[in-house]
Amino acid sequence: MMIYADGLLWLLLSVFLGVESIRLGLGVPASPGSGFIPFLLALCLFALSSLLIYQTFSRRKSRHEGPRLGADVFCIFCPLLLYIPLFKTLGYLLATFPLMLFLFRVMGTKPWGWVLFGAFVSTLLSYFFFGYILNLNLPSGLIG
Amino acid sequence: METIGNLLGGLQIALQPVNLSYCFLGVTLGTLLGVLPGIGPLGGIALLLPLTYSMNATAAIILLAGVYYGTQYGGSTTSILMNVPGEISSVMTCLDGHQMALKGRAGAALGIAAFGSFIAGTAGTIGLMLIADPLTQIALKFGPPEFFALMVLGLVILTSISKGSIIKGLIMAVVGFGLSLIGIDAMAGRERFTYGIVHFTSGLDLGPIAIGLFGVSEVLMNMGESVKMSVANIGSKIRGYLPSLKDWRDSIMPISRGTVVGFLVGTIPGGGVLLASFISYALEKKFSKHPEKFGTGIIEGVAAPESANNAASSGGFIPLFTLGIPSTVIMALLLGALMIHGAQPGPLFLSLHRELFWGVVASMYIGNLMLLILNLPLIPLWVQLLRIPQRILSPLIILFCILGSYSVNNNVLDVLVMMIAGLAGYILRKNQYEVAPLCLAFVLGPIMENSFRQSLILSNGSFMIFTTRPITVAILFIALLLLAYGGFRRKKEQNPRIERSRSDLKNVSQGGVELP
Repeated sequence: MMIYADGLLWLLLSVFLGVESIRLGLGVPASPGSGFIPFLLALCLFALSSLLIYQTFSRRKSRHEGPRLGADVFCIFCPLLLYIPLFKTLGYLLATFPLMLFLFRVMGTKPWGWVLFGAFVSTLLSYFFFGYILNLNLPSGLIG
Repeated sequence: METIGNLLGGLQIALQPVNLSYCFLGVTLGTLLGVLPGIGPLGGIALLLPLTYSMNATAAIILLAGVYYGTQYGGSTTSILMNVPGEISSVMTCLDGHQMALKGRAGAALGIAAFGSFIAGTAGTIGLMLIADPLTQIALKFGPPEFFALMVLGLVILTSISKGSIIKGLIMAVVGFGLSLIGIDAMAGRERFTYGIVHFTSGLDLGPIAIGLFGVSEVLMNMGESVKMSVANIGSKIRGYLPSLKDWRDSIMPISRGTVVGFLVGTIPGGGVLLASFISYALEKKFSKHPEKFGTGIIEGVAAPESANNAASSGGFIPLFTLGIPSTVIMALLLGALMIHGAQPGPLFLSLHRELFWGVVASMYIGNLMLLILNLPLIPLWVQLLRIPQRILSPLIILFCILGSYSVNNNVLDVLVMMIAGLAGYILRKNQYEVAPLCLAFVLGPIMENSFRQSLILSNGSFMIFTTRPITVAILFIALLLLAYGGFRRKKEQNPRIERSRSDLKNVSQGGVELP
């Protein structure tokens, strides 16, 4: 069933897009409404996803179960998601330093001294470069 | 005469200290991105795009264009020294370039790559200068149906030449088009797919999506793969960057042919630098008196593809500036940058934004010269940079991705959009979906929708408008043929013998760069 997952996902998306397009109003070809183009896209997506499912079905014997997504990728992604609320509340420096600590460590830098040094320097230099030289309005959070 | 006057005017703009600095910064960053495997021109331009929002349009495009053609130069260094293409367009350079390096001729290979790139890049810029104006005159005759058909053609070409299933490529294009519809419908003034999120009313920004799809997903893709760096043996002994007279005699025709082929391929929407280097390498092998020596370390095998990819990078600007059609995803990002700065590429671009066009063209001459100067004496420095391990580069790239997407609107929601795009890009790429058509369709979406709706309004609702205008019919017919060819090519590729020969060639790119 997993091998059909992407085809089914696109199929569901096409149905959703079609329903939303009708809600937006299709108009008439001479005066297309806001939903006109999305509806045509939904039809295209429906046709393409059906073809994809058919193609997967007809080749299922010769195909493997599909690629494995790296678990370590999701281990990185969760702290990145956590970083977003911290970025606003704690501020750039306080939120970025632990994130960089984590990223350097998890991506293979072994000695803790180097990890600390890398995180410290990259956080500070990026703050200086983007905040001062490029004038980017980075949140100062608790420090500010 | 008028062209020379315009060019001189352009030189005045390009030589202004600010623009000159951005040109230098662009080509230096471009070379750096080309040298370092892991992040190519797409990721680099995507990262820099938000930072250009506060610049004027000319400076921004000079910087981004510099990054683009700079990567074409830099990519050859990694290919020759490490047999790992720093940039996808340098895959063919690995074949002979690395063999030359193993024979102790790394200096000559790097030298001819730099000189060939310079000659081709400059010739390509002359071509751009000469062809853009006449093509604009033709494009002025185009109406909405022709533009819609051209954009369909661009999408079809990109989908048909990209690797993997053509159906998956088309799905990506539809999804990209759909994402571009989020926000206010410009014709009806009505919100679409925003679901009450105020941030989305002005639509999704290209910056965070491109950074996520090409920057973050690239880092995630590289995580499981170890890039074997073995530069030490060759890197310390490089000498003799100036090619000998014999090298020049052997290379001059490959450089000339590579330039012409690369430029022509670059002008075709969807053509791109990779296809240009492939075709020119194959062509040289055909023209050669000793085709069996290709792949053993001959200088023609370096000169031709390196010239072709640089000429193609200049040629790619022609459809962008004259028709408003990006020939590759990188051009789509540049189109986005131009639009953000209020300069809409298309037939009126040359008359409305003359200074911008000629300023960028002139900066390309200067940039190519800078690259020649940068590439030869600084090779030892680039070699040192190659020793920076991926475990240090990857966290830094993620940090730049965060800062790049935040800088779009100083809004943390853009960082979230970037991360979601990054994860989506990773999952899609792992499932053999190409994200390039998604990005191109995202940029072209609003223009395509407008052209399509305007066409229908013009014809009073008749879809026959797309089948009765000769230019539209011709363009759509070519698109259909290409789609059929793409399907046929994939069927042929399933032949086990061809698969085997492809996997042999794939061994060249040990760094995980895949052939199309």
